[in-house]
Amino acid sequence: MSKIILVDNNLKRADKIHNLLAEFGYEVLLAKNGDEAIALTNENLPDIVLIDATVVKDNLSNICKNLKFYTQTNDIQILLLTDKDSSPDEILAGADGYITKPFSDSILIATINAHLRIKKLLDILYTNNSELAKSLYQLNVLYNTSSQFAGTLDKNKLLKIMNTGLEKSLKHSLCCTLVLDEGKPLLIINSSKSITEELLEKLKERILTNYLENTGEDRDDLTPEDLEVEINIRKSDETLTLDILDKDYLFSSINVADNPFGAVEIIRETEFTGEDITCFQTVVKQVSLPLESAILYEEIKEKNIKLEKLEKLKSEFISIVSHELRTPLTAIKSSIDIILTKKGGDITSIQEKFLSNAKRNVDRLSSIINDLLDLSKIEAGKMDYKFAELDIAEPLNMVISTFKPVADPKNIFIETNIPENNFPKIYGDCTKLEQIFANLVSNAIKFTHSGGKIKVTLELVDASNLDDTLFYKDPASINIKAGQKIKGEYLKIAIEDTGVGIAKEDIHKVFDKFQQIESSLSREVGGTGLGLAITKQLVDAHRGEIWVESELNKGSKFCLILPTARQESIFLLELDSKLQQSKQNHSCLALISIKNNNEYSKDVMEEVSNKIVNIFRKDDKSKFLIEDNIIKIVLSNTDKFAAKNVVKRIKKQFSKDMCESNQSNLTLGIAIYPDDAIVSEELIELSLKSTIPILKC
Amino acid sequence: MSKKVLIVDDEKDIVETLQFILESEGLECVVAYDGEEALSLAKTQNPDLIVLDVMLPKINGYKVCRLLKFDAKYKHIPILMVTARTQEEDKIIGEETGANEYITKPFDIETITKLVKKYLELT
Repeated sequence: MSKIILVDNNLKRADKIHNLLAEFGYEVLLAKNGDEAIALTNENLPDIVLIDATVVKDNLSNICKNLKFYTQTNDIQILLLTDKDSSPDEILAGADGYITKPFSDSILIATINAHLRIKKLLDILYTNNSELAKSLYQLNVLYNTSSQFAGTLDKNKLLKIMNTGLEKSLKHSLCCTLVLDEGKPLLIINSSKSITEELLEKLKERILTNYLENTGEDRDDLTPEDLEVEINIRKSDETLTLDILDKDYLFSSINVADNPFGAVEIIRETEFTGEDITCFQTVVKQVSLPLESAILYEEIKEKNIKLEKLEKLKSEFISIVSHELRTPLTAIKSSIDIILTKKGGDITSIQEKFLSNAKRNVDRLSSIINDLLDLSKIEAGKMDYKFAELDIAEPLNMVISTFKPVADPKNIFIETNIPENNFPKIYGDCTKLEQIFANLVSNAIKFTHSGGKIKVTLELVDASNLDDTLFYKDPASINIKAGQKIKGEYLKIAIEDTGVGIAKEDIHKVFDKFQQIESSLSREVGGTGLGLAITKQLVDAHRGEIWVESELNKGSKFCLILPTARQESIFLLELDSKLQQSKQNHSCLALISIKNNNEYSKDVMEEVSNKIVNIFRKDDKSKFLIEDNIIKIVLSNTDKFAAKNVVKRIKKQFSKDMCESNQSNLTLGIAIYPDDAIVSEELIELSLKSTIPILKC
Repeated sequence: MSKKVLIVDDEKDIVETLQFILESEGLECVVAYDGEEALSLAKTQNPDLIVLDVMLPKINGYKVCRLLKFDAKYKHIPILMVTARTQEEDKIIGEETGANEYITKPFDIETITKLVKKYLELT
């Protein structure tokens, strides 16, 4: 029934209108003045307020404002009963319509009916608008929730985001989340008010029943007693009663990769609309994909930790075993030595021969142990490299002269003519380079027959002209960067012999561990089978490549190339070694790239690099690489927070200069080990990809 | 009078071979099988040189070496450290303890004789 408030202080007149309206079936309330009218309006929410203009006089506009003050009263129709001489201004001061006195009953009723229709339409509009607003709000929450889902790989955080999203969009009183992925089944309850023991038991029972019905699973092990419960309560001074169980509820199971993961149930005092249901289902569906990633991520993390432990165990094992083997070996070796040096008296030539055999094998055993230790150190990333600029001819010639006395008795000629100070320097560790050359030269001597020849050469090459399909790639290595071609100046060292050679099908095996090619000769010459594997690793550490060209019974040619000491190769090697340090210290490393996106200008880059160098300490040049339009900076032994601070400092340094136009197109990218990537190439690539403008002009 | 060498190693076989080698060079040898014994013999027997293993029971070789090298009364005694460990860090610790030489197992008897002679200035 439509409600009308009549405001009039003339009782006789009021009575007449009251009776007329009541006759037409309207509910009428009487107010004697403006204040009474406002109070009645707020209390009863009428459709129309009918005011006799003489009651309110000058105060009309104020009263109208107050009558329509609240959202619920905003659309109330105000009708004025005015005198003939009232000016239209007065009438329009906030009222919706007027009737001039004197008026007939039918005019009054007709006007009231017209405004009631307006009011009804306004009411419908209001409802639709608020529904739209609600949908918009839900959509907003949905959007926020799904973008938050993308931001984490933590299972518990995902569930929390889902619960917050549901609560914000659906304003439920109670939300139960059942988690069944692993360990004890868990029930998370988010409630607006505190919960009694009794209600908790009912809730447990209900969600399990719903879950089993919904998924069709048959699980006897799922009982309410087994549920571990986590309760979050917003207002603990109020308590929910059992009545809540009769209220409207929504239930959905959560599936992760088609496997049941758990379920969600929400309860609300007011009924859920169709849109609420869609919203609920969307949120619950949306959580399953990130949950799957989160679960997989956890698995990978666990496996990684296990693998790391295994790796550590392995290298510890090798180190301990090697140590334990050395002690008895020492006793054997020195005992044999004593007899062979005849300090203990004369021995027969046959005794001498067999003791010499024993001595040779003890020596071999001890070199196997040394190789094993070396390899385990390299593989554990514990090999220390002391890089410096050096002339490669020096270690090469040194090794050749050391091996001459071994080759001479076998009547093997080593042909070599390597001038010193004739080639560009390389950036390397001298001892490790000697080890590489010694391995290759001693191999050549071992596998070359008496009277053969070994040729060692050194030349400067352009790597882009080399056939990179020849390069040996360790199939187990994670450092393979497919399609990345090496470029620039390299020094190529070739050690060519006229020895037994390697069959085509065996060529790819020579750098594998314990892969000495089976032949009568290889058995005869001995060796550990680890030498070339170590050599390969050492060459890798220098960012070089190694390969072998060979023909059976004609000879082998082992080639290796090492980058010359150029700015970028030095930077890469320094980055490698800083990365290795970070791995060992479990610290972070950040790589920052600053790019000039304008055309290359030497002046700009010089200015920019000066500024960058100024920010950091000037002494450690290896931290920077300035190359065409890009400056790369390595921050080792850092953490994420410190790295972000450095970025801030760089930005500050550039903002001081107030947007010089030539520096306006600088961007900055950052990549952090171990968060973003774990190998140098990927860090560089990522830092170049992510770009934040340094200057905002 | 012949010079005296203190040999310290917990492996009896190694002690015996070292003793044989050094005695055949005309040196007098005393032997200790653990760190404690080594310290007390170093203080009571006035050796002219010590051949000291690292992995020892009771007190390890590094500590024995440090204790002697930081004691004004004994720091003049040359110490040759012997170890089966080859890690770089061990070498550094060895140097910090003040050892005069560092020999890795398995050692050559020639190397060890030469070094002993060098430090005893018998060459």
